Amino acid sequence: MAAAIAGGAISTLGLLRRNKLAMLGAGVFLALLVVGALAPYLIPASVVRDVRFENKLAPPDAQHWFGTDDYGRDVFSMVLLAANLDLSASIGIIAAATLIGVVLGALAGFVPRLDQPLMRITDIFLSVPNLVLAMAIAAVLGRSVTNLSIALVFVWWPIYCRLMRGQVLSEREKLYVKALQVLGVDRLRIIFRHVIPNAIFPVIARAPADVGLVLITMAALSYIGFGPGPYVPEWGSLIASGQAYIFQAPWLVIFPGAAIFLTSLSLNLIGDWARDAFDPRLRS
Amino acid sequence: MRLLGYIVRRLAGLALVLLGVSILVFVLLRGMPGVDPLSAYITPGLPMSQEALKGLRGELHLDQPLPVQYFYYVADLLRGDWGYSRTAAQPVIQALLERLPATVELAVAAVLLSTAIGVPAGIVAAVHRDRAPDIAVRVVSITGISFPVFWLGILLQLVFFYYAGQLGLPTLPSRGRVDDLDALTNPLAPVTGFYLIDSLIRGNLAFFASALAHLVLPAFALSLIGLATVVRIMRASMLEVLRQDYILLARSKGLPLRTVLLRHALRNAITPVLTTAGTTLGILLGGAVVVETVFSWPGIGRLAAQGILNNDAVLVVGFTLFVATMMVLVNLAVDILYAVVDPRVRY
Repeated sequence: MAAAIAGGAISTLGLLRRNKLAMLGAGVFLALLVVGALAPYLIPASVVRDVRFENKLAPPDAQHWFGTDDYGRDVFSMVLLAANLDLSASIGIIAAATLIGVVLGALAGFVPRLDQPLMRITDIFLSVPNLVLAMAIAAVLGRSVTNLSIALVFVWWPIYCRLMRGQVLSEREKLYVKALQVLGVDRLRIIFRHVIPNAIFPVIARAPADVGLVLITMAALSYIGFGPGPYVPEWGSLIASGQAYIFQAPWLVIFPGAAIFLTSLSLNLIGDWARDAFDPRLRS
Repeated sequence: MRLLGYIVRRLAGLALVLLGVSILVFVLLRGMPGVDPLSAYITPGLPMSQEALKGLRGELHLDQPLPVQYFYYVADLLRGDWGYSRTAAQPVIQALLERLPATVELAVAAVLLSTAIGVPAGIVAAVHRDRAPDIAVRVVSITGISFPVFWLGILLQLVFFYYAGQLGLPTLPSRGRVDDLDALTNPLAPVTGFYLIDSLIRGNLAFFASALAHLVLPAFALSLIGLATVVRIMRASMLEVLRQDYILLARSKGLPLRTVLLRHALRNAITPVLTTAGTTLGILLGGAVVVETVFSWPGIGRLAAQGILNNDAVLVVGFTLFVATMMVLVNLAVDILYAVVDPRVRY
């Protein structure tokens, strides 16, 4: 009895500790969102456009906190401006992938005729690593940030489709669904009004960690050549263009990378908590 | 005999997956709305003559309906004709096979590293569940998955090559598979294409030392990708095993914790880590594109990245199909091995 209470206390403590980390993650991520949203209004576009070679590759000081790049531009401003593109793209990609995956997954789970075809399609997508498939799709569509985002949505929806299908399969057997069917409620109405809202939480729980993963994947692909070019700040391509000066001006690589790391760490802290919080096996 | 039947059934299933991937790849190359299939063959700024375009159109059967084109495409794939890469100035399949050993050497080193670090870390975390070591392992592994690997790679070069050199400390090489000078003074005749194995076979120790030193930084960077997964699976599986009665029995008959963990628990807990090896390898092959680019490692990933810069869709799509095939084969090998090793698996 005492042992059980002690065990309970320890696991509650553990959960709390994780909660604190998750709170920290959420705070950092919210701050980054605010920065990303406001940066384009607070930083004049001329910071990116104006080339000042007399300032080039200056180390960090009181005026340029993160130093300047090979065009003489302020790296701090560039990193803040890039937050806008990187955050909105990765959140948008996961939102779109979740939407497509949830709808198709619910249909697969609820309409037996659609189940096999949809599952075989996801098999195909899931048999190629995410980064590799996204690379191939974006390469065929042509190098641009828009095409890269489209490619990443294409790669990510099958994960959510599979998850949602599994959830719906078990939800379908519940009594209230049978009752609705007996009452003669329209099948699509049952799916969208009743089943999806009840089954969606474990699927949504994946989203924060996936936003972090998609951010890293996108930055990596833009690092190897899908980036938007020198006049649109993006973290991955900032690193790519800074790499040429790595030994001479390491701040060009260190600060954009730290921004990716911080964002993805905050999302993983939220995601780690969300996975436990929504995992039915861990609920007591 | 039943194992043979299992293998045949698995092979049939895998053939279906590969057929699906070939359709996906074919749609990418020929069926994308608004994308001219011929654009994959034209270097931007270097237009081909109408004559040559017409010849190419006929050779690729672009004048035929899509299903007929697909048939020709698969026939070509099966004959080993995966198209011609402008980037490598070689047939795609030859370019990939030539560079494959470099990538496999790197990926295997990374898998070994992430297992060597991840398995003990997972065990420690499970044994000390919810106490300081568990939380430490958890924090470290979350930090690990949050690291952009290409950034880590560049930072490793900065610290272990540049700063170490500045301070007069021993440095680790930051580019390539082997030192050019070592390759010139102690040339290595290839046997398998794996530098570490070949140099040992030939007894060329200078070459071996150089190749090993070159492997350290990229393999470490790449291993970080799989590390968090290994730790998480090992911890969960170990927690499951530690709950079993035979562990309690072993403990209560007085066996030391160390013996119980290593002799009884580890053997039963490690299988999930092995079965995910195929998936992990796939993730690593994706990561290899990035890591090979950072470290100028002459493997298939760096070639694909160069293909992107050249708009060489034939090569990039060929690389995708190649990686999918490799993943399928590795998964098959893992499953068969698993069925052979673990008598509980029914096939």
